[in-house]
Amino acid sequence: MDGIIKLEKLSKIYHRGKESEVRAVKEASFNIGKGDFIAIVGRSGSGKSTLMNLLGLLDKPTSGKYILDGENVSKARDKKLAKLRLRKIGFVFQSFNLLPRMSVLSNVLLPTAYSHIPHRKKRALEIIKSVGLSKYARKRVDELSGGEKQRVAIARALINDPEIILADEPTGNLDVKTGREIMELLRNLTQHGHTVILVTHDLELTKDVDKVITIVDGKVK
Amino acid sequence: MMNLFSSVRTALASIWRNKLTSLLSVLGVVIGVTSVSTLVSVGEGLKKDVSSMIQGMGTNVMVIISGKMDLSDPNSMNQSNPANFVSTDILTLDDVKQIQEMPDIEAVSPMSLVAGTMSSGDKKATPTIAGVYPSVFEAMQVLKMDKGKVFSDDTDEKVVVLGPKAKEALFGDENPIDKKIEIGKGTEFTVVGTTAQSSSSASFASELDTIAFIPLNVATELSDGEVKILRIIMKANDNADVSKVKKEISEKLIASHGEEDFTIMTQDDILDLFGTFLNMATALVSAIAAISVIVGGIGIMNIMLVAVTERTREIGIRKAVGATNGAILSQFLIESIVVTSLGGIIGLILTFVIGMVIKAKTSLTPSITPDILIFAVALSIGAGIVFGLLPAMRAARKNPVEALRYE
Repeated sequence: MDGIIKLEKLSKIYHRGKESEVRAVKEASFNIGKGDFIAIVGRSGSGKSTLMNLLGLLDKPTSGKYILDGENVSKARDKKLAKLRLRKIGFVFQSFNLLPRMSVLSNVLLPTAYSHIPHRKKRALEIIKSVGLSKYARKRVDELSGGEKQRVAIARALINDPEIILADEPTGNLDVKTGREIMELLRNLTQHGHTVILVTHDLELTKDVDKVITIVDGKVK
Repeated sequence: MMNLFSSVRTALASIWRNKLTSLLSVLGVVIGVTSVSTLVSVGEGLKKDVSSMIQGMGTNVMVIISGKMDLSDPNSMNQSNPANFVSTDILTLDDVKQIQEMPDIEAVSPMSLVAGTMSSGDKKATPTIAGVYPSVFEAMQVLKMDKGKVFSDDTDEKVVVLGPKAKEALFGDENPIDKKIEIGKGTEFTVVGTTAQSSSSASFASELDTIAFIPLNVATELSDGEVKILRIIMKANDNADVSKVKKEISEKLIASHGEEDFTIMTQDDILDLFGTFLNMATALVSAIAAISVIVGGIGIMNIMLVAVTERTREIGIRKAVGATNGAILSQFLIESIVVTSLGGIIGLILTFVIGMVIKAKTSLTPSITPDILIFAVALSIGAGIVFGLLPAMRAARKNPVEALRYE
């Protein structure tokens, strides 16, 4: 299977004061294949959030190589990173990170403000339907339940048809049953060719993933 | 790149969500734009009034005043003795005669002023009493006779042509022709005519309504036999070249006076002079009013800075889904431009409303020219850019990871 993500000794060091430095991620090296369902597991403070930010191109590595879809992006500039996030990565966050006073449709359409997608409204409505929210398309997201909000977030992540979906504790704010539904939805995405990277501390969730990457004290085991 | 249309829509939506905040922040711009454009439109209105009045005087009218003034530079007035401007021994009847003889001159009249109060029985009036030749009515076509006739050129009879104000005060609705009035201490005059109410609405034109005309000889007699000419009013032929005639008169008078101690003003000169003064006044007052735009702009900057902090998470979200720094910058900049432009539009609407009130309540007619519209729009857009840039740059520079973490 083709690799979509390849990390070579990727590190992120935060300087806090002159003397002490915090190595949030230490020389992480691994490959992720296209269409994989991957879980990155670690306790809080283990560096998994930093790793996710690096994988999601929200943060820049201090050293090492990050090959995304055949392209070394470890030294890319802000503008390039924004373009890559736009085209290749969709985010699903624990706290949903939707714009609360806007409608479901507007939230799903948000990424299209920065790209040119033909028939964007039609496509958005199709995706909203596929996550089971057809009835709520015109509703404001702050009127929705947690599970519904997470579905909106997933729909938003899918609008630009990205290669990678990065889900950071997507079930963290949901009850068990709803959490299971969201996991099911993410699982389904891999069947449509999306690579799903789940970041979590919950080992329960790792049962039905293809591969688990464990991170302890910034090191990948 | 986020397209302009959706940026403006986003901006309008966020302004609508924060109605009160937006309204308060834009108030300074509204006040600034309103005051600047109202002042300028009143100035423009005055200019139009004056030019219609001056054009209403007829064609090719000129006035000679005593005292030298460089019409192209109003400040030069400070450099000549101010007493010259009210001096009555510079201009002479000989000057009038010389001008009269020029082929291009159609009519010429000296004007001297006489002090005194008019009375008829127990009624009193205080018009400007001007000693003139009857040809003043030919020179100043704006003066129209209402009743009666004008006195003859060289008469010594004590007769008077009353302006509508004095006629109203002394006689009311009565016919004043052939009635007697007194000027000063017991000098009796016969009313031979009245001038018509001036048709122009301009406040300056109504000055003409307050004048009473008496023969120059009589005025001289009242001034103890001294000829005191304050002005010479004349009209060149309709197809004469006014600037050429002006030059000829000037040369003649310099030859006989020995120096240029007078000023010849054509209608264009008066218009220019007034325009220069008015432009200076308008510019000064507008500059003061423009300060409120700056104050308003600082208010907007402040509120935008708060908004950028409050919307840190939104910025993080937008960056996560692919917004470049440039896209965030333009989003916030467009928001601030939209806010100030709305302020500008509200300001212009207020200017129209205030203009209508001024027109209804005063004799002024504010005139909102295309220049004012363009200026107001440019001013408000400019304020949006200048004062929105810092907040927008701050928004654009936010680190996405920290922005997403912001509570």
